[in-house]
Amino acid sequence: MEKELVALALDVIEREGASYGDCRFVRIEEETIHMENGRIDTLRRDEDQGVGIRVIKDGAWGFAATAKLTKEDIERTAKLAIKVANASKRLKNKDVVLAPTEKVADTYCTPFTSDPFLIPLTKKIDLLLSCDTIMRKVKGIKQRRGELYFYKKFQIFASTEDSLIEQTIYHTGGYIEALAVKGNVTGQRSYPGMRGHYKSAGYEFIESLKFTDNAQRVAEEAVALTTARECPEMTTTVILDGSMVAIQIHETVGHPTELDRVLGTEVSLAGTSHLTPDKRGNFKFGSEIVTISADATIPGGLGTFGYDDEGTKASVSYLIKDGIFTGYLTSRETAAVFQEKSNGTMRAQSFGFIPLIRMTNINLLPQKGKLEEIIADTKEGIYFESAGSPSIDDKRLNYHISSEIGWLIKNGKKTEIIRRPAYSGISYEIWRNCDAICGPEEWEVWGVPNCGKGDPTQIAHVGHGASPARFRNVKVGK
Amino acid sequence: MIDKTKTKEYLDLIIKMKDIEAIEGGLFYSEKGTTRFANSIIHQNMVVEDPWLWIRGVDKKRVCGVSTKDFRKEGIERALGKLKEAIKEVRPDKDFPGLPKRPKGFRLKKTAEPEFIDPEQRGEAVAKMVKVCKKYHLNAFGVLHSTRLALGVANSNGIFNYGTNGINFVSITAMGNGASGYAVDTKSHFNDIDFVNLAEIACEKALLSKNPREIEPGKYTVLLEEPAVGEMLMFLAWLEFGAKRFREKSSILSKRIGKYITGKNITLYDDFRHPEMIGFSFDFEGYPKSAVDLIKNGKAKGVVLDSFYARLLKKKNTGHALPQPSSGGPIPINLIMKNGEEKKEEMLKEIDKGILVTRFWYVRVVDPDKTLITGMTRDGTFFIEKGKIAYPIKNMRFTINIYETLSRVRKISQERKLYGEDIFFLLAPALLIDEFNFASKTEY
Repeated sequence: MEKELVALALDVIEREGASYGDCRFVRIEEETIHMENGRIDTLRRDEDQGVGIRVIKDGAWGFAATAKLTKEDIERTAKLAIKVANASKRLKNKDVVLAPTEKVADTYCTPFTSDPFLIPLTKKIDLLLSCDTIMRKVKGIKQRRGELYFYKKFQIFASTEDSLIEQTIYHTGGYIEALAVKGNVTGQRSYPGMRGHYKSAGYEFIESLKFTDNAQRVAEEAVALTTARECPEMTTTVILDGSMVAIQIHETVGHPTELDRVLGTEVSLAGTSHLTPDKRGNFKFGSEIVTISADATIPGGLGTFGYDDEGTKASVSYLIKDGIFTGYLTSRETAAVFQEKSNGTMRAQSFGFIPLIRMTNINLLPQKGKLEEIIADTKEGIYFESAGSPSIDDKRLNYHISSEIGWLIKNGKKTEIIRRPAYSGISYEIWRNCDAICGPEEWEVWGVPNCGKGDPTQIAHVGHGASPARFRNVKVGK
Repeated sequence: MIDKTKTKEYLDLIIKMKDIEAIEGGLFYSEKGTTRFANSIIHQNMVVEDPWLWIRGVDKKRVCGVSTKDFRKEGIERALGKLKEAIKEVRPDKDFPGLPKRPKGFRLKKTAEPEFIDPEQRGEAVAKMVKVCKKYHLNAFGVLHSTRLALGVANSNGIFNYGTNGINFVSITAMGNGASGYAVDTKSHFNDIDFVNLAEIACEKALLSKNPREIEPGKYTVLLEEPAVGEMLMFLAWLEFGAKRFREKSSILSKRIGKYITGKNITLYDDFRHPEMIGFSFDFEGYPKSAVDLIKNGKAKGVVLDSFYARLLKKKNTGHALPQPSSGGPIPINLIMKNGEEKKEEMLKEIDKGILVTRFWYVRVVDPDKTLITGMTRDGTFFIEKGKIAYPIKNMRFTINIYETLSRVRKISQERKLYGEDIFFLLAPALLIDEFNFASKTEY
């Protein structure tokens, strides 16, 4: 039935004079299980479905979407998309041009072993409660939390250029967290990363995380943080764990290389970018060991798919190569500005949102060595673990990123724990000061399930492959 | 729109379901028209009709939630089937207080159906703003949302409430020669927005922002305009004014009830009834909202509650539930800061040396134990000398403790602006604050 509705929408917009149109039927199923202090306080099964119709008429864009799935509603919504395009042409300076793309008829499904929606709820609940039991036994713990999250997206994409693509994407993840309180000081520790680790995978990923094996350590470190001193204000060497490198990539490489914001179309919310087109191919963004790709094809990434929401095939491209800024994340419309082809990064949160350029998996390519070797090779500095909250200016230059926990490094050894350390600076300076990146054995694709962009704000699931890395001369403190 | 009668029909299908002891159904209807413009052209333009139906079931203290956007009978039945299947596997929650009961004497505020704003009307409003920007050789960037919302909640204890809201939100950034200026407004009625005046404000700021100078980070007297104050208060609402962190005793307010927590000139409360506020008169459990004092004349007074936390804390439900089940707890969504007596332009005259901040950007919590936040200035930051704007300055990062900052408020403006979108709103004045901490600078 959904295919018929999609075909109907395309018929209507062609009949109404659209020069281009695409239609997405999207159904998203989510299951969220949240535990707090031994109580399952949230058990939700949510379903989101509807049709989004995008058109170009007389060189201007229109978009309309509805959750109502009768033929009459689809026809009405398709006509509304045309009406919206007619209103858009009031303010245009030239016709929208799309870079060419291949006509595709294909299907794609996330590879997985175990469908998370078929795993009994009791098994998932028991896992969270087992973690709770372990964390509760640690003296000083006041709050225990945990969450498992499962996501399944089925989408039919069809366009007036005769593409027809069906995709089914699974995302799976979760976290556990302990909070200790002593006087007015709280110590918060979570696993894995901060507030979770997510992959395009099935339930096998949850099992691989070994939550119960880590619950006691998490709780003990939370207690230790209540008596830990705050991070001293200084400029020093910083070693970031993989989850923190992932956030560093996200904020300082992923967002500023989105070509839509570079061209000004995200000013109303997110801002612009310092990585302007004149810098492409000649701006020294990082040290020579820094190479960063956009890769929607790697297994496990939250930015892994078969085709983007314009029907462009998933691909690999380079944003930073040997330290030089080389490329952007693009769409068909933005790529056409530079007479290029889209590298396939357009995604919408659901049927009711217009596709935007979104990060796929933005990956720092591994070099060599293990974390312990880099620490052993560091005379003085701070090791940061579990990415906390980031903040960055609207051109993506001045950043501030905090973490849950850090350790002072002295003479090649982790020594004293420090509480909620943060580091800050100018984005290209930290990458220019990167002098060590761990090897493939420490490399992991981290999932960020809450990347915000657009207006109205859309939440995207994106990925970042990273291994721990070392940066010199970084300002640390609060 | 889905009107009251149709909403009741959908919710009756849910609450009449057998086999489950108690049941709650909610319908949240959103129809959002959005026009985004950049480089003085419309580049995204849309209308999205997005109704959402949620169901919370309770059976022998076992609680489970499902939701769907499939409003067909078979869609609702599928959702109910998922609920019945899942609830069997859930463990009883001994703390669950039961679904709220209909309070006596509650009269629902009647709301008229909000007006539908046609894409052409939005285009016309954007064209007016673009015209102003072109007059000053600037480009216009921004967004105009016109949203119609309806909320209906019913439960098997006899609650049924329905209300509607219209929300029109516009932001405009005028840009040119590396400078930018910003203006924003939110109104229930589209015709209450003066688009030309907003564009003039944004252009004036952009023109004043050309060739910004760099100043050193440090502590400065600041005049924070309403959007900047709104951003700061939003974080305070989230960190401090909800019942969850209060009960955990992880908020500062939870340990200071009845004591001074800010300067005596600060009063914050939640009240959807304020004439400039946009809000529903009941919460997502269908329970009527009460006005709640949070900080009164500097003293910590209380937090907002839903049925769960009202029972745990042995207090009266204030009607601030978000869609249930939820782990986040209630938060104030109609937050108001009491205004002062002076006009903003008079406040500016009182500053010998200081900084005017139009808005903040990317604010995040650094340390919740201290209400420590960090963020950037954006789209109009100026140095003030002898009561006048002296010159534009490059943007800076601030890192502040919110309570300490609210203890150093010298003046509060008479003017206030409504800040927010969809269901979260706050009414914020401008503030003149001493010793506001700027931690670092950026390149523009």
